[in-house]
Amino acid sequence: MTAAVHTSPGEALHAGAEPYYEDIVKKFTIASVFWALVGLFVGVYIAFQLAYPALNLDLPWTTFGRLRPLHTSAVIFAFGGNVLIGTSFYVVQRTCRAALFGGEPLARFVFWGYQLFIVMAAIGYVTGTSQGKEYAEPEWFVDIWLTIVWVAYLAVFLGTILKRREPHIYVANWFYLAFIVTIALLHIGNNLAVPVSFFGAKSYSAYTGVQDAMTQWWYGHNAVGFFLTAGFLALMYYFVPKRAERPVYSYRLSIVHFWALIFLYIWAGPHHLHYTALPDWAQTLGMVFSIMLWMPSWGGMINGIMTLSGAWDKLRTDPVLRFLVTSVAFYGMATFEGPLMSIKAVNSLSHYTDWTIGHVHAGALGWVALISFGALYHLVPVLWKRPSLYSMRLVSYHYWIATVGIVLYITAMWISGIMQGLMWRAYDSWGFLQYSFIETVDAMHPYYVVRAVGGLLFLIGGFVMAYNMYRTVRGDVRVERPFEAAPHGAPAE
Amino acid sequence: MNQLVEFFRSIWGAWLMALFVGVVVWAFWPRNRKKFSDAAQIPLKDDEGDPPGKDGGAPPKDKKG
Amino acid sequence: MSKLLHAKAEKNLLVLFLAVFVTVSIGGIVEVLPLFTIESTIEKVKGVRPYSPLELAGRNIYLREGCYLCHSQMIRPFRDETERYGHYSLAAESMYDRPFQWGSKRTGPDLARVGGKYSNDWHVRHLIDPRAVVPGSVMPGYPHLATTTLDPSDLGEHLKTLKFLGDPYTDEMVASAAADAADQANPEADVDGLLARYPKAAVGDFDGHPERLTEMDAVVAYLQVLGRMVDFTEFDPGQADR
Repeated sequence: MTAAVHTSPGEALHAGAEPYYEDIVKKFTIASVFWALVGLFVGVYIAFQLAYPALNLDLPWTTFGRLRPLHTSAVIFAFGGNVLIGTSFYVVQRTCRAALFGGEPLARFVFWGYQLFIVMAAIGYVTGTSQGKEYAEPEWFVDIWLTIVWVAYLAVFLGTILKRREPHIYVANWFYLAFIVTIALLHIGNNLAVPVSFFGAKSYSAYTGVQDAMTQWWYGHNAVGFFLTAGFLALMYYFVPKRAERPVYSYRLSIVHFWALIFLYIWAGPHHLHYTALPDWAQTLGMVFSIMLWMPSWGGMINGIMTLSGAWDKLRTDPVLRFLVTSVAFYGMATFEGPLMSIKAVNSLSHYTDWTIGHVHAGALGWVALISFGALYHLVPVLWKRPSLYSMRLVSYHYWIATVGIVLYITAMWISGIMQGLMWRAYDSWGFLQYSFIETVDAMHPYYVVRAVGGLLFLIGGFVMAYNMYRTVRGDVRVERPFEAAPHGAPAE
Repeated sequence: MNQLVEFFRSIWGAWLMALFVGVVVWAFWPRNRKKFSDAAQIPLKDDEGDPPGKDGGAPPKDKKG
Repeated sequence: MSKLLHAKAEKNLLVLFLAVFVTVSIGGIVEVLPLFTIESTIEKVKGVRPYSPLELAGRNIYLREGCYLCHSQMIRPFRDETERYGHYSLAAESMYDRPFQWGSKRTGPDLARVGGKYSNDWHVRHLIDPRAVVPGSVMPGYPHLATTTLDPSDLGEHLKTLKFLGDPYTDEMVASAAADAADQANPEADVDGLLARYPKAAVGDFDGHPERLTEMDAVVAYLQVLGRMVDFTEFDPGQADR
């Protein structure tokens, strides 16, 4: 078009010469792997605590109650957050053909500011500084710090899109943007509190009781919806097409997916409060919107998986793609289970039980972690300019170890959760409650052991990944038989 | 304000449907086809010209003009 | 042309940004905000009062230790739950809970009505070593609660903050907060004023060491008031909704 006329060749050259900022993405990649190992390790430890309570050690800072927020924050905000911010910096530069707005200094502030947030939150949990809201435990001063970092992040992201040299805004960036904007809204909305003093950590929430419950789960469920879903769908819409070397199955479907998903998710929170003192109209709205969410979720899943149509053989030869595609399959599974559990009749059984924990981990391990691993495996050789990963075989081992770990984890939690729910409501032939509470705790023991072992496998897989990446960064390439596409009709391997 | 919220809550089925149809119509509007198929190619062309696995460095020349 | 293109690109981003913002706001406006304005959200019942200073200190320890991660405080209106735990929970019963502690998981039993069910001595032994009184329990032990002294001097500031947020603490309550906290756990103290300010508060020595005010005193005082504020012999659900 005529635009070229107005741009002198020198200007174009100059504009094109500003390189992408990849050093910062490297930092986020390393941080992601580090926090993944920390978060998974704490998760395995507290899983064993539930099976063997002596592991609580009777010390203030090693009890389940203090380590559990450490686990959830480390995996969600530290691991997940670093993956999201890091990949968003990578993806937004490449899909906009523009270097990061604000350059190295602003991006560095986001990186170190975010790590400081994580460390402040973690120290708070262990030493007993918590505002007592699930997934929003950090106290007011940590919340304010995160808000500052988040505004800087939003500025980098929006600014980069603003100076893009690509006419379209690619759909992955829509998902990242929805994630950044909504998390800001949720974080501020849910954490409004008044500190007791400006020199003390303690604050009191601006909300009480039923309103606080609704605000908390508006936040809590949309942390799932926008942090763990929309954000990672951005990864799906970039890395699956990239790795499969073909455009997304239907770009139009991705548009419908986007708007339907972000609209419906925000309503789903009350399904965490079924049969509580929350007014019935709110519970009903929450249930209806949760069930409707099934449709866009599966639209997105189909879009992700069908991107491989015509290239299915790549699953055999590329274990990294296998991570990505399996994660989308787990996304489909978890987003079918979620609406099911939001139905009030089902929820009356599942709520308060391990079934919820199993559901969360189907999403967290199966979807979020696997797609992150896939993206990180893709990124490491690209960022460090290596010809390939150190070992594709190790990627494949990681894949199988992790998958077996997930299967053990979620089946153990299904059984224990449903059993727990049934035992709580069981009556004997005289019309008395059949089980005391402690009998139901006792019955969970074997499943807690299996769950912890499943988690341990997943952690071991994480160490395999870290080793593989370390060797890749060093520039080593393992001598091994490559994965080759089996000729048609020949037996596989 | 309260009445307005009350009103919208009572007919949420209708406006939800309208919004959904609006998004679908926009996504499938024939004139938008080219725009969307161009956009779908974005992730694939970001490192063209670079050898596979070696992308990075400076972005390719301006394509927008 | 170039300028036009540039303007259009910026408009696209602005439209996208605003559309996302509006889309994710609607749910909150229609679903969350009305709870703050609709009167029937919280039933009108008698007896619910703000926490006494010692109970509040205990509650803050309950938050600090993450008890809510394994114990709910929300009894659902099912036969098995009301038989196991007591009358189903009312919204009014958590109207002074900042934040709410309804919980999401019952690794341990619901605690919404644990007040008065066990003796102080049982709670103390249970918190120090859960398996000494409940074999098979998976709860962590909290022996340090019994050895950590509680400094009540800043509780007045806490009450002042809550008063600022709208909880009905009086100036008298704020002024006597530290003394009330000490008195509630002191079997020798004159507690008439305290009980007038905070009816149904459990008073006396909680941790077996009357001479010391410990975190254990506070936690047990909090646990002993849970679910006891509303007199359910006088509760009429039909009236409450009006």
